[in-house]
Amino acid sequence: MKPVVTPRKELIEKNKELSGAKFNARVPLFVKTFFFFVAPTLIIFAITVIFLVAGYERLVVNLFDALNQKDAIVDSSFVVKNLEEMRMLAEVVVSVFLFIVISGSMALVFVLNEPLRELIRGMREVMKGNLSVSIKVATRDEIGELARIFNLMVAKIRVARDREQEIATLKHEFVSIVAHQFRTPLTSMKWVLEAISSGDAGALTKNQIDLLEKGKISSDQLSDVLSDLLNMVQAEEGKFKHSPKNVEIVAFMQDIVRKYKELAQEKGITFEYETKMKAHSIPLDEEKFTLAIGSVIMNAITYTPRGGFIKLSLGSSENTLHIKVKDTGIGISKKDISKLFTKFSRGENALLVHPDGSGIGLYVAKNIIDKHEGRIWYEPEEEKGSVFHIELPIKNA
Amino acid sequence: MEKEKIDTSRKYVLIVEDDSFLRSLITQKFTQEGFEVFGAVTGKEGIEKINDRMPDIILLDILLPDINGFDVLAYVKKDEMLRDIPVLIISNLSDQEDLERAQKLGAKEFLIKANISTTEIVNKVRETLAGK
Repeated sequence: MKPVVTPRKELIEKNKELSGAKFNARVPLFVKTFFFFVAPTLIIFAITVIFLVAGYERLVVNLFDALNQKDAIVDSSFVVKNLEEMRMLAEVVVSVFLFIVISGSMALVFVLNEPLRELIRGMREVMKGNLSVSIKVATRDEIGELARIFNLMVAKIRVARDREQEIATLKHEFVSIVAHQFRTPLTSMKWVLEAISSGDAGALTKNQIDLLEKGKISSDQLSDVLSDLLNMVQAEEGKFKHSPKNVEIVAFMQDIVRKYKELAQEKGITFEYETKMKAHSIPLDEEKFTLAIGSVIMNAITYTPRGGFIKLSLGSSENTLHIKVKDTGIGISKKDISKLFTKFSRGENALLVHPDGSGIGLYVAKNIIDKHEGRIWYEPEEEKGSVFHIELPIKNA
Repeated sequence: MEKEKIDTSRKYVLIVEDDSFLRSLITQKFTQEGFEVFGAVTGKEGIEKINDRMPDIILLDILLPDINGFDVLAYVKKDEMLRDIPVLIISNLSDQEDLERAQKLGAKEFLIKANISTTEIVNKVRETLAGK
């Protein structure tokens, strides 16, 4: 017997533990229902019947008494008076009875709904993301069963979520370690290429210089990818602290223009900047926002062919600051638009022009702009090219 | 223009870097540019060299075999005599925590090795010395 019973008992105990509900600790619902509703109703009903019977008895006795007094003339008004008394009595009793029944029903509904309210409260908590919820409904009915299953379900989700978080942490660590480990040998390669191409190891032919230049470009690309990866990990782990300070946006944008105009021109792209805004300070995490807007402008430069055109503009409406980056580049095909701001997403067109991109820049940019309570979106150009919009709230400091 | 005025031939640069290859590449570059360069492999050796002869500027890596770059930086900034020596961090770490820590401790710049060329490092050093 024992070997069979013990595991079963354990199983029951474990089940109780998991669901977090104590099933025997509460008064079963039917007992509550009886005390709150059925018993009072029965008592009131009995009293009503007794009163009615007693009242009719009195009437009948009175009538018989009157009839027995031979001399007396049976007065119809006497009968009417007794009947009137009876009616009033019945009215009072019926009113009390109805009152009890109605309030009893309401009490019953309230009692019956309590487990449901408890369920709703628990579900709301889960909706908010609190997975340590355990609903304490101990009724021995379908609602109790529902609560028990719900608790088990939440426990399972909790386990899955913890596991997922663990994997995410491991993934972040992995990416971070790999990126850091890559950086040191990459530094050597970059510095060596630089030393050789500057003639430190002897004079070079034009062909050799060209080849070294290509090597340098590739190593720069690799270091950009590593930086993107590390930024992504930082952003996802929430280590990317948002530290806004009041920054004068017009001057800030001038710095940005200075930085990228030259890069665009080197590639033979016309870079134009336009603003009618006067000096205005907004809360900005300067370093992060530079990274975000830099990604957008760098994309425009990368994906716009020689001879193209990039226009950056800064404007504002009442509560919003609006930055627009427009280019005559390769654009983004319709099917790639929805994935534009997701991690590792590379557009079909983009892959053809620049196969080594990381697909992280816009993801990190969106992350940063979200922290500024702003938004970033893409608008396809009618002919060819792209327009990126960035909106930031203007809060008066 | 400002750059031309500074006589770098007498400027003493201390490079604390444990990777021997990177150390030799950067030493070579600075020597070529006319600086007087000394290298240190560990944090403790760095501190010894600083005490032996006060450098005009320190290039400091963070991950070192014994005490780390932050400790060396803190040591320099605590010492009344050494406090004014500009320290440029040259590391492949780039976490925001590291950047903020270096800034709080008083580093002048935080340069990421993989993202910068030796020429750019030399330019940064010149700018820093000019601004002093």
